[in-house]
Amino acid sequence: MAKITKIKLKNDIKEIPEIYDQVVKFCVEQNLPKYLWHDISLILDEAVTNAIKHGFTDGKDGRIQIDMINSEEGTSVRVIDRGLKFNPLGLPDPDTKSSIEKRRVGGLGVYLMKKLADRVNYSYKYGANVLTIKFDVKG
Amino acid sequence: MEVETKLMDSVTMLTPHGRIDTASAGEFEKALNAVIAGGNKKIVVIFASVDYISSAGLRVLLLVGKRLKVTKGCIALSDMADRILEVFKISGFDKILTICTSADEAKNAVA
Repeated sequence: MAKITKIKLKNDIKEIPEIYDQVVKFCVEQNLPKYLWHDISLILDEAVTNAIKHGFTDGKDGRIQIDMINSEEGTSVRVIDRGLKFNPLGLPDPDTKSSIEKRRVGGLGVYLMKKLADRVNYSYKYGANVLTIKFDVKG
Repeated sequence: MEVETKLMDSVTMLTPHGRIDTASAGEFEKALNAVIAGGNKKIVVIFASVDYISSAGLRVLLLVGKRLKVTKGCIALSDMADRILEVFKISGFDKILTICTSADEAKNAVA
């Protein structure tokens, strides 16, 4: 049976430190390998940051929900918000081979997400941005 | 996020504790800029107590690296956990910043 843990956050970057402890607790409870504590926390940091930055540009209050799921099919995390429609997967990848002088700032968050996870999907359903990140690892 | 700062033989050794995430990257940047503003151009950042560094933290390191390049300063990073080193490799930051295994090695690299 799937185990789902939900985290509800305000659209404020000050809430991001809340994520780590919840991720570690979930990973320990589900017996997931230690590297996922790091990978899931980092990915959620990036996903939530993008949701706040691009989805809530009007400064109004909003909510972001994180679902962490462990099932027979593997582990996944879902980030759901009702901000402006925004697909972070549409952002261009950074040029990781640039010299330090030419290296541009930006685009790294989503790129790290795509490289650390096994699959990342975006959809816009019933007025909500839904970003699903999957790992082929079971607890 | 606490950032310990220690001067050793004209090299400033910084040890951040916890996560260098979107919320704390600003403090990390302030700590680094304060060192540079103080005229110190040889900097080591020890990652032994860092749980993870997000793209916001990597951005700070990139900007500091660029700044030091122009002012003929030097920065080296050390004691990274495997997953953190992996993040630096994925980002290509292992090619543009000096990464060492130990703080001593990093101190020698910037001296």
